Amino acid sequence: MRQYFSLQLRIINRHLSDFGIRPVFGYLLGLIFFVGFSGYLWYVTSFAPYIFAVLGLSLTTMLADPGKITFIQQHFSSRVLFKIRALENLFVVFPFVIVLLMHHEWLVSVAVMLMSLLLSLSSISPTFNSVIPTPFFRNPFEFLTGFRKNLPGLLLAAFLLIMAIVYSNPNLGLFSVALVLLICLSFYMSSEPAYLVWIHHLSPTAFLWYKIRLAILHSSILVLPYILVCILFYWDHGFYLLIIYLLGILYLVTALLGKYAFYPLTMNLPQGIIMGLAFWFPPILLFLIPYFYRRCLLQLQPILT
Amino acid sequence: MSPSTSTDPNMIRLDHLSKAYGGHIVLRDISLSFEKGVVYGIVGENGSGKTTLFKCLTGLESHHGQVTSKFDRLKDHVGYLPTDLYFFSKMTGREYLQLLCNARQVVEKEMDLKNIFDLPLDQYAATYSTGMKKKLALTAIMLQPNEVFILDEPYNGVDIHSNMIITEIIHRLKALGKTVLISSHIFSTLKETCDFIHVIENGQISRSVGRDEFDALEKEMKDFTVQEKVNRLRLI
Repeated sequence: MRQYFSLQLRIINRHLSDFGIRPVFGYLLGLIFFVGFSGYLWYVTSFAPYIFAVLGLSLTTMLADPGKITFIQQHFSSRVLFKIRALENLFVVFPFVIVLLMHHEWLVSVAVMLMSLLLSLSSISPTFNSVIPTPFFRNPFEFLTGFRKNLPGLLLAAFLLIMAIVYSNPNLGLFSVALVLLICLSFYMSSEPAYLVWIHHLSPTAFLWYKIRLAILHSSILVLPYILVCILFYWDHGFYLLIIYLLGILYLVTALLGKYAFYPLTMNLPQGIIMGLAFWFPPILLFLIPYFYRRCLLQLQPILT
Repeated sequence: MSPSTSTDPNMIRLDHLSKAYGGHIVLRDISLSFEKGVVYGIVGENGSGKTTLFKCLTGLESHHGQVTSKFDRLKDHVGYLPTDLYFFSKMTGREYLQLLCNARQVVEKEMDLKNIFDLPLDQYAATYSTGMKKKLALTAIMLQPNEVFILDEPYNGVDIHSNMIITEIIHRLKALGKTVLISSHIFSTLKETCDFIHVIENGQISRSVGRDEFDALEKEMKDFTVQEKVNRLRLI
């Protein structure tokens, strides 16, 4: 079992090294982001403990990959399997529990711990094979697969929006819109194999504009119901909604260009940091978007021409 | 170098094509030509360079030497069936076909009719078996108006009935004047479909034979390659 966990640690360290970052700095950056995010969440909404609990528990479901569980089953006894899964889940929810305890959310903390243990007993995987209908079936693939994979996140955003209306909390409503746009942005975090770029009968420029058009159209389709509901109840916050929407689209385009700017590799650390800084200081996008765009054309040239 | 236009009557020409990954040379000075309406087989052991050759031809791998064709952009006329297929985890078979049709601006309204392998198109493609994935990818490139078909191990994991369908598809493609390149470990399928077979060994074309020499090549491969190697096991 110890070997299993040391192997997991080595795999995580390798991922961080591949990203061009020393593992220790990776953990430090992760910690800073986590603390910053939790602080922000507690600042914007009184529902932060529940959102945090759901986020922590949803991360444990990501560990319940059926292939991985079968592999562990084949090599370890069912007792060890339970121990491994329970420890993994506890590791994942541990930072969330610490933050919850710091905010004196005793009951939620205990509930999260117990739920994570219960989830480790469960053999039901979060990946089920019934096909979820999407409005994006005509134009695969980012939003089509992203919508299905992130449906719980989109439902969480809808739940937050309902709570925002019930408790007359416009900030929470704005947060739910931002959350949907953030989820859309995550669709561009991983690269597809070169073959799926190569198949396009388009020049690099045409390919990029095709992708950008689809990204704007599809993200608008996804976020529009949230925006409309928000406007209906908080029409005086329309300006803020517009700003969030426009910034969200800009970040989305930046993420898309960022993906292809280093294609088929992933973004390295300096570019990742600049991208991260753009969240705090949006004018950086004015330089980042043209830079990524030029790089995209260079990277796509050998594959598409 | 990338594919460029040629006035040569041949559909595709490879001149002194070489490829290395770092210090490891995978393809050495390969010169071949492929004509319209002809089916070519590429045979060789695992790791001999067949897939790399196909990737260089399609432009998916950079290389030294020239790939020339009668097209402005060869890749836009190639239907490539890779050996290592990738399917997104939450994409159905139908959506995969749609993706490949969209990529070539094909409007396909008879997807169900053209689902000749009777695949469950409304299930997630990632849950398909190896053979079903192969058949889905093959169906996808058949929906596109390609002039050249590069099929890397099209028979891998495919059932006997589908095997016969694939063979018939290749015959029809040839009749339509398409150029087809196939790699396969199953010699009988190559004998049935190919006009020429190129043998690739250690990244070089060691032999090129026409139909009349297929039997001799098969016997030679059996006697010298297979028998000699299995004998080394000294099975008791």
